[in-house]
Amino acid sequence: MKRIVIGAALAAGIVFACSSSGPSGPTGGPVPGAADTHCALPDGGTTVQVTHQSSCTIVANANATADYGATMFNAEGDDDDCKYHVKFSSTDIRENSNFNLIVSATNKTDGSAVTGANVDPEIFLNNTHPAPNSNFKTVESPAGTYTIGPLQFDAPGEWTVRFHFFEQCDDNVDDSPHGHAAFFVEVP
Amino acid sequence: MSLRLTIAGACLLLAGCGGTDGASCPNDLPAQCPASVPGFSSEISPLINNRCLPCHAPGGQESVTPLTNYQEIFQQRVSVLNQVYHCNMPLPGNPQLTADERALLLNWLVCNSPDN
Repeated sequence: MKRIVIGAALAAGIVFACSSSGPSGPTGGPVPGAADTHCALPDGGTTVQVTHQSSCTIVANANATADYGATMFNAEGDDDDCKYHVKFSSTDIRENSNFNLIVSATNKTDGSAVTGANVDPEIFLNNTHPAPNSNFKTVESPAGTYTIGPLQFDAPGEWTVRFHFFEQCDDNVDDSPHGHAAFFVEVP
Repeated sequence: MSLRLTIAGACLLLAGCGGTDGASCPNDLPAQCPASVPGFSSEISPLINNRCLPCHAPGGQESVTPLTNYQEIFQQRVSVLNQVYHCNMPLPGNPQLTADERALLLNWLVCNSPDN
């Protein structure tokens, strides 16, 4: 009996240690605002950039420079180059508590899932305040959906979460799979 | 016996949760800008030339994010801070920053990257 009680206590401790801290108080999330329209065309159409894996390792345009695009409101929008449509959600967001981001991306060409993108988040409050190191992992399951965690915000405020897609690819030509999508996230 | 096994299993599970592939990235971001700010010309520029320019220069793998002069570095200071602090840069397989270089660069970046 004593062993059972100790085992149960250890199991409870494990669950507590692997989850976020106390589930109390308000939670944060995407900042509501104007919907992203940066890929919309005046005629009602949409800009769509085709990608090719073969362009992942091309060093071609010596004058190309990176542009991450504007940070977006809400929980979905297109990447900076109009290659992907990106949606995200999260587990409960509270200051100094572990949480996960769940990101899904589809190709704007045909709506198919963006697979193998090795999504990497860049999270910061301002120019000098990145999110603390939490040694997070990115796991893709199912295809095109990426769970990233554990992550932490260590201060309240309006943070920027920028997702990098195919970060391992060079970003030197227009049809490189490399892309970025950034969103505001409010932390209470 | 079974209690020992239970405890051993619990320890293994605890060690595994939330971890990474074994290489932990230090939480060593300076809490504030130090009184003695590292000099860009004397310390940071040579460091970046040595560690970053093999890729972040024309013709390099990351030529779209060049770091060849102060203006370019300042423009990308947020990404540099994030990538270096989270141990994503330099990429694996390339020469890594020493502990002293990492501290120097992070201290300069949390001072908002002055041209000093």
